[in-house]
Amino acid sequence: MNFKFQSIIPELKKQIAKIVGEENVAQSQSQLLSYARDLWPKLTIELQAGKLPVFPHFIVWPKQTEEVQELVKLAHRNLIPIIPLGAGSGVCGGTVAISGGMTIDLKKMDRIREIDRKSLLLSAEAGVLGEVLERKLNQEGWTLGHFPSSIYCSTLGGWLATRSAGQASSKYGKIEDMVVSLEVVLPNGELLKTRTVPRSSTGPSLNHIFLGSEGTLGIITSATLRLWEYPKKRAFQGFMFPTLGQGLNAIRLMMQAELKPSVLRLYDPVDTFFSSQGTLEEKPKPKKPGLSSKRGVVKNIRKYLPYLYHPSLFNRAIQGFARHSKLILIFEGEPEIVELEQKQAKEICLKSGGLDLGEWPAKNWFKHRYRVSYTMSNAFDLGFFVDTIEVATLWDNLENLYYAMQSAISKQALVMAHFSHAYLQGCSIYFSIAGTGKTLEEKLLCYDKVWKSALDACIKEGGALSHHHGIGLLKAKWLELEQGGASPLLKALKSALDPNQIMNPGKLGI
Amino acid sequence: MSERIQSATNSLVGILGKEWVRSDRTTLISYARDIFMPGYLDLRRGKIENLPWLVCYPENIDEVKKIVKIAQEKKIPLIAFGGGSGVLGGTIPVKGGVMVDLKRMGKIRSINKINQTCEVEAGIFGEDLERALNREGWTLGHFPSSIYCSTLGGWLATRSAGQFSAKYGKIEDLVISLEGVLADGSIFHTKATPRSATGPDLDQVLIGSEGTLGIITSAILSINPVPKVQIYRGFNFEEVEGGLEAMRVLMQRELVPALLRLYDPMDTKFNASKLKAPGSGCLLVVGYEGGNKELTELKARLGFEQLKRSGGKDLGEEPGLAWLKHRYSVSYHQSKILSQAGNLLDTIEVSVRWSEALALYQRIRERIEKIGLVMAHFSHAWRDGVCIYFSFLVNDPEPEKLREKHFQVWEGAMSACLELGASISHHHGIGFYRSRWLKQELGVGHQILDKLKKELDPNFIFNPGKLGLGEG
Repeated sequence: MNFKFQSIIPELKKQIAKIVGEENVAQSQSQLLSYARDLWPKLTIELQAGKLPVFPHFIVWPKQTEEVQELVKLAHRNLIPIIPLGAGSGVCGGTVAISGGMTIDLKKMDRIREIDRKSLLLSAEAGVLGEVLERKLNQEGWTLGHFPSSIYCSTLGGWLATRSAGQASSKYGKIEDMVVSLEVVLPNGELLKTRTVPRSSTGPSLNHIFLGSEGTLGIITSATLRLWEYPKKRAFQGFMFPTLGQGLNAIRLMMQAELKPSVLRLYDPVDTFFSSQGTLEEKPKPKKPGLSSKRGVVKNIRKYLPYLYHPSLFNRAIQGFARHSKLILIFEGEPEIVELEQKQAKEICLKSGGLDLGEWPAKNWFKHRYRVSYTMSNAFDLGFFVDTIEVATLWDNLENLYYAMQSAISKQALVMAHFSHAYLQGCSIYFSIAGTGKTLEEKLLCYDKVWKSALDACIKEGGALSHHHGIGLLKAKWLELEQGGASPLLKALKSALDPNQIMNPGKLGI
Repeated sequence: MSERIQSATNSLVGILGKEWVRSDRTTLISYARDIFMPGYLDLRRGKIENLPWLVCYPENIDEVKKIVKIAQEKKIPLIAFGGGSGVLGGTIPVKGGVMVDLKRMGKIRSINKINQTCEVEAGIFGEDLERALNREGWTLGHFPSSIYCSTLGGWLATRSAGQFSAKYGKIEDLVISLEGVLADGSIFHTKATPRSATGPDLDQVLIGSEGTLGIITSAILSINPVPKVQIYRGFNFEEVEGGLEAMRVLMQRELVPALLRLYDPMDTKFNASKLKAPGSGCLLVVGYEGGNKELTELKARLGFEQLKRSGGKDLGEEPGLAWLKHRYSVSYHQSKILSQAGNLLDTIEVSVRWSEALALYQRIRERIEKIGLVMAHFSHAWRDGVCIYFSFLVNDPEPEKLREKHFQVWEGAMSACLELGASISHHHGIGFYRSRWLKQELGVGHQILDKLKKELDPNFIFNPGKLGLGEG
């Protein structure tokens, strides 16, 4: 799609300013640069080498829904691409303005509109930052229960647009389970408000059209979400399994025994090794709080930097001696239920061959639970890149998918994984990778090869392309394969809602 | 017209064989209506409208695909049909066309014990599926009262909810993957995964589409072990308000039972002897069950304590067990009342958040009371709200007037929902009868569905006249 609005840019700016005020539209190079990329590592590698991403033409900060509607109508009339943006913490290029256009930053729309205490419902605007929202709720005795590690730098709107899942999703649900209703500005400027009702049988789910649409079908401006009472009790547990298989068996049995841990994370041997040196004798070292944090991982990997040039050998060597898998568990909520769940979880783990590590691994993880996302940039400074690949599949395919992807990635980069979102029917796999190359070209080549080999293997073995990071630009070309013949549905949604294709072009491959 | 039908018949016979394409009058009559209540009135008067042109019975997805291709070529409506137990006219061939009865596609393809899933074809009856699963030690946990006469495909197409949905999930929560055919004849089979972030969840666009966007031919569903323990109890509350409040607190305290139902005074009186409970006040039945015995027992104990603290009088387990015994019977006794001339019986289920629940209940009840007899129970409770299920009886010797009264009840109830921000349907769906109110409920959202329909099915082959689609 060719957009031809360049000649009217000065005039457009005037009209945008008329809608949102002069102070809420920006065009300076420095501002455009800072909005030109999200946290997609590929763009960081390129930026380090001085290669700039595509810039949007405008950054606009609307303060209310009506302004968003006016902006969208303006864009609709003049065929200008629109890129809705929250905090820009996506890792798949979902907010990159590949055709230029108007980036609509929603962070000035961050009000809590209503709390219905009787129905335990919160209505908030899309631009509110996760941590700000959670703290406000905590002050009143509530929690949303949504804790992505990006919580400091991601917004409600971003969560909804990408189908986010938080660290405590086994208990509180993923974002789609929390949403009751949405307010969405459609690509023609009209406003959709879905009903705030617990459940309905009134045709297809309108909410689900927009959840995960990554800004391609409309701009979510507000949502009503279910709240939870802040947990009365929280219990921490850690176990070490002699093999990954035993750990996986244990987490499946737990989920299928109706236990609902708020946090359940099983680390594969390499991840266990890099995050805690992975020995069964390991005990807490009070002076080294970074035991299970990725700062530790990045630091540890740094020691092995030269080996990243020989990923196959390096992986084989580590996989050769790293054997054990660490599991951390947190239960929270009603005290008596928590105690029983904890007891039963322990029985299952011990029966499956786990060794009780006590509270500390989970407590320590909890303390540093968001740190990983904020220490990644160290790696890039040190000359290598890191990225994460999260997929999901059913239980009986889990080990197969894990080994297939691990083996595919192993040839290109150091690979480790954890299993952090478990369900009745299956589980996610979260691969962390570290790779490098002697030149920028080699690094990028390595980066692209990692993703191609990983996602090709994922599709071949029947895994879902993404568990909770979304598609963006990064995974777009695999999406049609993922959809198993249902892609006409998504294409029809796009043509029905956005025939001019102005909404976040290139994302989701539409 | 008849030439078109004749050539369609020939093509269909070519695909399915003579035996599986029917056009005899008896067959056509029996497919002309579902359980939409005013349909009984017409039948009683010998008025038979909306006959389909043909009924066909495909055996597999390839046959469905071929049927869709023929329909597309000849611009013939196709109405996907399961058990025909819908109550809003969702399968009535209002524009004629070919009924695609999916009941020959009723196989359980597999049960996977590791994944706790089963893969099942859309045409299977609910009770057959549940019994087959039970024999292997599993349950789907989906128990609509229509379970004997409704199919999996129907559940999916209408967004069904069962009596134990609080524990096991509504039908949309049970779906892992869907297989079916789109209007262009293409086959889809969505990814079987516990969860993904790969664009909009397309399963959720098809679920509830009532045959207007595609024909669902099979699904992979979540299953659970047959419960090791079932603990039932009855409680009595003086008034609706206190009972509702008790339900709300229970749901919000994570003490979620499988069954939780509160009957208003009239419904309590009506059910008292059957459910072995006092006929005054409001009866609440509650049941905990699960494969984790200790956890279920703990939740039940805490739950019952909470209900008592909320003012409920413990009636012991008998009302709960009696409910369990009669759980499906109500749906199969309506014809007795209907058979008396001048009577028309119907039900209306709506969905509302807790903060508006009492107001909505009162407003709808007051409106119906002016026209007929009304009772209600609160049949599904959630953390954020509740389903109110009204049963009503209107009477008039004049069929036209009776029909008018019936409509007035619906109009009163539906407009109350729209006024109070509630939803016009909790789990029965829209069909054709609720379309007019659906447009008001969804507003701009209805235009989205309309445009989506035009993109996917520009010739309006799939179940025309339903969900108010394509009516401008």
